[in-house]
Amino acid sequence: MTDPGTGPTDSTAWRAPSALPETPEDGQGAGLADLVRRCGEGDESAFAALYDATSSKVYGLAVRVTRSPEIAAEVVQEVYLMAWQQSARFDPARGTVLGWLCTLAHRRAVDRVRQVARERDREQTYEDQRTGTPVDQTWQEVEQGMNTHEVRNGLSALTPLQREAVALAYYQGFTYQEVALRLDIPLGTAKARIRDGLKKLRSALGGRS
Amino acid sequence: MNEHSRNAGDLHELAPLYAVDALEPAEREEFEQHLAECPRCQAEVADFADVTAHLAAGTASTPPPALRTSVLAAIHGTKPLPGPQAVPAVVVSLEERRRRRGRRLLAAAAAAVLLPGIALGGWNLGVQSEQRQQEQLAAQEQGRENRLLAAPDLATHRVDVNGRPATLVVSREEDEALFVADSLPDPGEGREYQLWLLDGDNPVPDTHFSGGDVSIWLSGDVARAGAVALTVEPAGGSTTPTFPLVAVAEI
Repeated sequence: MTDPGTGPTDSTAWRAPSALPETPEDGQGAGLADLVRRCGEGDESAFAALYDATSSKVYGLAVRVTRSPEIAAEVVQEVYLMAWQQSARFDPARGTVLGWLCTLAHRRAVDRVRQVARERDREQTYEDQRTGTPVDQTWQEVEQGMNTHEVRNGLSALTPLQREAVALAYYQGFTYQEVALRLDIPLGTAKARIRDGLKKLRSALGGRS
Repeated sequence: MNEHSRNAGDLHELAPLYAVDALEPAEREEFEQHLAECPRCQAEVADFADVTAHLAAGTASTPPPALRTSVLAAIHGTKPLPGPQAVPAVVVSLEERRRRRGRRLLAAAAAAVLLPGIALGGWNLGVQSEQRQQEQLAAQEQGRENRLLAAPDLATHRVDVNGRPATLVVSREEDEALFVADSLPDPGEGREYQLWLLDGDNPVPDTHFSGGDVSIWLSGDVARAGAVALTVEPAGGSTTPTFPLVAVAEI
């Protein structure tokens, strides 16, 4: 893997993002990418192994965003059905398996949250419910769950304002306009905080800066 | 900001916001159109997906065991969509197609036309809106059925499955067969129906499924087969048929 170079974590070698390797060379037998490849050939046991290796992250993310174990379970169903259907099209050169699954899960979860919000009286009940957890608390809970110091270092590279904006967008599923509204900042500022925060994270995690 | 006069430079800047689903619906739509044609943004989005996967890692939580059961059941007996590498099959000959067990390739050719998401390559396809994806899947299935139904050598065979009528729709030329039945009786606890293609005397295991309303494609080499048989097997399917045959149709 590449040296982070420009990131603030030069002293530590960058490792594969998950506890489970993407490729067999990383150790631990069959990698996630290999499991997906076998899914593409219709291998149901590979699919079960993929689920076992990744479902806690997909489910946890869905619960975090939807705040409902029931809706999260539906999201997980949909994500893995999509993953199975599209497994033959997964191209490991274009990204990691976890990145793919988490992207699918986040999109589905956010769509569900927004759909529910549209159906309810968005300005009242639902907003009140969603804002029940302060951002700082959300972030702390999440941070405690992080198991690599690379990630913690990455997060510490963000300014508090950037963290706040990224947390609102990612963990609570707000659009940047909603973030701007909640923080009472201009649209461009909300955009910039999310964007710059993610870019900093990326460079801290060893990607491009 | 004027939403309608965005230039490409602005659009590139939206990749990180897209990666955390923080764009408003109209902007998301606009960015996805741009994404389909912009390799730079495709790389960016994939890159940020890995970053957000780290954020997701902090929220991990064990799902209920019943969820595993239902997730695995949902895909059981189904086939993934064909991969993009099968697309050149449009130009292979009939013989070549049969040699490679043409069914998958044929479906892929249709998919290439009907699934614009392939242009994005890899997995970006998957993050399109669910509605669009469902439409694409439905269109793909419909296209496949239409080709079968339009085949000059189309033949239908009625068979009786434990008192319920079922139909086998076959075209050797298209190398396709579709098995259709309504309210098929439950094959029993831990058991499934399984179809077989009889190549001479040799039964080749094909798709398996449970009862209810069924519309399922055979995956094997229909063009070579002389008959199709149906048996009841242990769930997950068998490699050799369990007698007696529930139904058989010469094709």
